[in-house]
Amino acid sequence: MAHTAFASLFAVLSPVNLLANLIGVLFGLFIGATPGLTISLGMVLLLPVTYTLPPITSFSLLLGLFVSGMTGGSISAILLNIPGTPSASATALAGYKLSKKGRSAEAIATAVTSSFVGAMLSLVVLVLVSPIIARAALHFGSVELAALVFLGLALISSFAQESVVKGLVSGMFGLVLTTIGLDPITGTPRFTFGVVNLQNGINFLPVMIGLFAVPQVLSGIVLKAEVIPRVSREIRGVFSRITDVFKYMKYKVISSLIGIGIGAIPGAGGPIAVFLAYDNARRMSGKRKKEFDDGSPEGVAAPEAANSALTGGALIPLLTLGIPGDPITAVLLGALMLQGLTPGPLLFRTNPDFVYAVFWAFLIAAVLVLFVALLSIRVWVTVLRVPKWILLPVIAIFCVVGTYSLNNSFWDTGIMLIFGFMGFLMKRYGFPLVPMLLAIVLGPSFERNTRTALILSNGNASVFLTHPISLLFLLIALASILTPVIRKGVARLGPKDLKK
Amino acid sequence: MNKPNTVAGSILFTVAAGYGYMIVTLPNRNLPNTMGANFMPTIFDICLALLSLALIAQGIWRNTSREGGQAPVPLTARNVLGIVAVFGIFFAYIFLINVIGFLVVTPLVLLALLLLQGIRRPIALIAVCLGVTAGVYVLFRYGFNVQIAGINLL
Repeated sequence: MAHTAFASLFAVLSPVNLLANLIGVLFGLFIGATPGLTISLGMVLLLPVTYTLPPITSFSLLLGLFVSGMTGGSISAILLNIPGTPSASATALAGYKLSKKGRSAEAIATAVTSSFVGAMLSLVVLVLVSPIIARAALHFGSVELAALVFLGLALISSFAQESVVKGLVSGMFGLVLTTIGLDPITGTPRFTFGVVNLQNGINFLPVMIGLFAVPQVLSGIVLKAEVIPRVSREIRGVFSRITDVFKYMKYKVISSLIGIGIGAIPGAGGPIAVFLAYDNARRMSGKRKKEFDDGSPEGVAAPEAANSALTGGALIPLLTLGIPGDPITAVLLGALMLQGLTPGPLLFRTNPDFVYAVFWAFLIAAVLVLFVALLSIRVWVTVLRVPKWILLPVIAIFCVVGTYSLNNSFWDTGIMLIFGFMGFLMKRYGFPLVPMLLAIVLGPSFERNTRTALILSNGNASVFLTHPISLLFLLIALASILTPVIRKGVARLGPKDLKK
Repeated sequence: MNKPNTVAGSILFTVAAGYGYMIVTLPNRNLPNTMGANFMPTIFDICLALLSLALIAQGIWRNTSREGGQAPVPLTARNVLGIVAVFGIFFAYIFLINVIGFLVVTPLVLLALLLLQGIRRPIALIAVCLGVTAGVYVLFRYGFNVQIAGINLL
């Protein structure tokens, strides 16, 4: 085991992989710092590139983006009061107030160093906990796996923030799309209309690019949606504050634990963790609540540690069970599948070198973010001034070239455009996009495992209820479907203040 | 009444009906003791049909224009033209990239997108069109070793 771990470390430290990690970090800081661009969008734009890279290189790139994107979100939150990512929303509360007091450098340094602490603690938990979960999950058969994938699909309802029905419609439409192509058990062509390109089903990568990136371009160019506001703040002396990493340690550790816990629960979502951490820090400030509310470094440290700790937490269910907990890990799941790797318990047995490489790449990304973000803060302030009229056409070109380069095929670019138009309409009329993405990624696995389980049990569907682990997963799935419905019902019945 | 929900529900119900018809016409090639190729599609189709009916019901009985969120800004004729123009540019790009080559067609596409956004300064137009094209080309071709658009590069 130690030999594998060290071999993976050397692989991750190779110049190419280090460079990939660094590029991911730089791109992530840019994406995170730019309001309107999400980490998932950044990952989707990079996916076509990762397709041509070896697994460790591609994951060095994506993990660099994942870890740094979370930190990058705090830059615009602190300087503009506009969170670059949803998980940076709580950072804006205290960070912007500090910035207005002329303490931008202190706020940014606190955010970056807290992110580092959060990421490191979550890595420790990831390394310690995930092999245990993976070992237990190795005993899963097709019945348990089908129930587990169903649990993953049930998260659709938690991503449906505005309307559960619309979320379920979006997910169900995604599942319908996964039935296009050859039947996984009998090989019968389904809904292919004699088109050879449809026999392998719909490639989820053009779908992802279409759903997430094209609506952004359309909204920005046509509807003039605000993508990037202007900023003109000068800040100095950030790197010298690297020693702040040891400040406010109590807040950072507790908030990190909150972030890890929430991140490990699929579908819980980053904003919950950061607001919980912020609220907890506020209570911890005791008699200094007034000072805390007026903007304090602790108010930046807590949510930033929590949102970076989310990253390691979110990797636990992804790597051990193959369940993506949020849109970003759903894209990471897609990236793993593009590389021919199946996330889940078997990954730890069949590709331990890759799993160790993920851990090491995560560690290196966290260290790189600390130094790069502190050293290059003035660059990111400049980047915030990039006008949207330049950025949007660049994203458009990336969409087309990235999709085309997958298979040198216009078929994929056509699919991307069709789903881009669909994504635009879905966003406009309140249909969430993530459920469709989740369904397209998990649908084939759900069908394969469910039908295998039914074949092995001679068509007896009660097998899903008689296996205790499967039953447990189904009950959790049921709870996760019903929770948003109940929560909405309670909010509707409750007092007006609660509704707000 | 929430018209968008009713319309979306009706469209989805029609899709579910069409999908149901295609499921019925699927070739029956079952192995012994197995569910056929139509097993999962049938389940998904029933769920989709029920959900589309729920959406129609929500559209009829709810007064809100959009549950919990804000109603979408109405599209003006200018917006619709803009959307058509952007998709037209995308389709033309995909078609022409194979015919003319990346290095020729990309600056033209960028120019069209910039003009669509109301940018008229010649220097900005030239700088962005040429700079971005060169940057993307170098990044994909030499950075990632991708045969960019695989074709008639000048």
